[in-house]
Amino acid sequence: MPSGKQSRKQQKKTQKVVITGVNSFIGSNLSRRLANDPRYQLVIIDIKKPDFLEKGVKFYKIDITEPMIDGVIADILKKEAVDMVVHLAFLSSPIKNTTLSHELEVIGTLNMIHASSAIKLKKFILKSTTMAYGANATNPNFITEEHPLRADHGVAYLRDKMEVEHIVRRFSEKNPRTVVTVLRPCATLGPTIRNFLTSYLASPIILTILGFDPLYQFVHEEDVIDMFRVAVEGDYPGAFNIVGRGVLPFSTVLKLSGKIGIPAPYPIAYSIVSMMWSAGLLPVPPVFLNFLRYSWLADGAKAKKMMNFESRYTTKDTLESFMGTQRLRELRLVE
Amino acid sequence: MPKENTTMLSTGTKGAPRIKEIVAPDTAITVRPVKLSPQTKKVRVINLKKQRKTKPEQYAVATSREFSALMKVIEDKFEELSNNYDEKFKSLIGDIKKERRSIGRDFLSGTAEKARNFASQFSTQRIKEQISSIAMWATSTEVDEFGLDPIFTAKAKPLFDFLHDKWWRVETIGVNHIPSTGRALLVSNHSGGIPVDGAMIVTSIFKSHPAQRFTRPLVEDFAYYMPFINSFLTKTGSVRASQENAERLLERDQLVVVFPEGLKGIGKPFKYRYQLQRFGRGGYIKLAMRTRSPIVPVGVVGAEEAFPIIGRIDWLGKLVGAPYLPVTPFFPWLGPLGAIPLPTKWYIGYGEPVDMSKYGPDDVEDDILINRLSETIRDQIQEILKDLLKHRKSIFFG
Repeated sequence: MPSGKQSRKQQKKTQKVVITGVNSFIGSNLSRRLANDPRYQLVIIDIKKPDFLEKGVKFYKIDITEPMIDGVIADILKKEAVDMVVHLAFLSSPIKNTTLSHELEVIGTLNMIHASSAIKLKKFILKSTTMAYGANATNPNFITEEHPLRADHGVAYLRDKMEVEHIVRRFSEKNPRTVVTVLRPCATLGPTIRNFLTSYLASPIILTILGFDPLYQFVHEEDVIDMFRVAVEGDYPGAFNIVGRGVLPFSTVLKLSGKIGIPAPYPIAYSIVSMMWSAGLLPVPPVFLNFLRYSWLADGAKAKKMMNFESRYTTKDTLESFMGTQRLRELRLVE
Repeated sequence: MPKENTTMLSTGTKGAPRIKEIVAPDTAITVRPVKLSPQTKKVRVINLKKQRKTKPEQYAVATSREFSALMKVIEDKFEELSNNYDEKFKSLIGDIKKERRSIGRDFLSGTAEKARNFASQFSTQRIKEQISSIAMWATSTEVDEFGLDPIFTAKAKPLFDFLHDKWWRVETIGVNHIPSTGRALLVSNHSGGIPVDGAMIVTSIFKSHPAQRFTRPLVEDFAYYMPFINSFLTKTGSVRASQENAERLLERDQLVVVFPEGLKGIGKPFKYRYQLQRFGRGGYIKLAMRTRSPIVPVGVVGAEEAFPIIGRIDWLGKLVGAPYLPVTPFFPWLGPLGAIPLPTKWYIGYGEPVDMSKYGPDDVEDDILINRLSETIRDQIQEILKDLLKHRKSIFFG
């Protein structure tokens, strides 16, 4: 970690930041904030031009999954003399086209890593998720960053996330001079974010597993964006969990949000969900039901200790913030 | 450093010409007029004023902070409305009363009274309160980090009190050995087909210790993830047995009770009663060394006879997620009735605490030392059991 003087010196110079996946939730919010900051110069690499593009922001229309694209990206990184890569081009929900998701997440990351290895990169920031720890019966109540990633290998979505982490860890071992930060937000909720969890919690009737009531934690979208901002500004090598303070049992989550939980025994719930997943009615495959059986809470102590970052919203505040907007949506007061 | 950044972010002090853009929430959110009640007009008017013609693709531009700011305004408005609603209703009832007096007819008064009472129930505020009170019965909105629910535990306490005072008439000996403050690791024997000894240790310490300390029992995986049992255990303060969880609890200066015998203790046949089984691999000694917490040996007498195991069916237990199904003289022959434990007389003895502060985290690697210490603790618990058994005259009457 640099001393205060050094970091102040660094801040005087403008830093060039490459952001991929700028149309994602974190991508759009983070790039807007960085574009308004005179200390940073943005270079956007994405397949789709974002809806906003401020002055001084460069945009390269590139599909990072194409073969041989790593050389092109490396040329761009060299030409622009990039200091930092923020890699956010990931899926927020599982999709049925597992080939596409594998190409985007794993091959895309591999291409970005190849290009980053070709230049002297100062920092590489990766977005991961605490889902990669997996929901296992043998999990400790609070999973620390050193815990192995043990998500179910049978699910393409989780397997890809673990593989991406593996690729990036290997990169950080090979390039000790590059600061590699892996940020793992837990279940993210908030007024504007949309992912499979928000669509699950938005329906009035919610399928739960009979007899199981795991503890849940949520992190507010603003806290996640702030955490990425902190990681961009300072040098924090390693993996960090981003979690909201406090936990709630899942039954209490449903009660607080005024939902009706329909409990089904695990085998029945499994067959219902697998049928609905195959029919395209549900955004998640049946293996995700384990996240309703076993706890997968992450420990946010490392981020507090090393980054001096603590989420402003508690788990309950986050839920209330999400449900408040959801109610207004139901009344069609907001969209 | 990062703290500063976050505050700076939230106030938005840089890039003066762009602040306008950030603050204006109307660029991104469409607010549609809705017919709800006369009062909602206010909301509608306010938001319509702000609304301008927007392009559809600007939805994506709304940042979460802008949205939150708007959300707060709308929520406050709703709060105000729902508060006003009751007052409006009262004034309306007042008007009706006045009118009735002036006309001087009261043959409708009974019906009107009923209707009024009925209608007043439909005040939004009251409905909300009633629904939430039903839904949130015995549920706290805040639990501790391991899921202990204070309201639920308070509701369940009479059951444990009944078992402790009336059913098993638990007698506690040497409770003063438990420290009034600070961490301690209680190590106990494990017995009885249905392991309720943990719950009785917790209740006995809470009732007879002057400091009324709450103990966190560590539970085996199979019980912790058994359907329905798991949520009951979590809400009443039990924690899944693992090194990480136990360390976290002890670092927060809590009392933790462990059963190193584990399954071997509760599943042993009746003829081996009060004979301690192997004490795992000494994980609890390592735990005490790492966290420098004193170990208090605990002996429980009476639980063996409450549920005497004469056999076990493994395959039937697997069906319900347990490692085996215990067979007693009454279970499963009498059905669910046979599962009621016998009202034996219980004794719980607490031994003198063993100081572990002289060992540090380095000694964790010394397997021979750990084995020796584990054996010492085991002997102490066996001694407590022997003393208590000598003290006991009758299984059912003490």
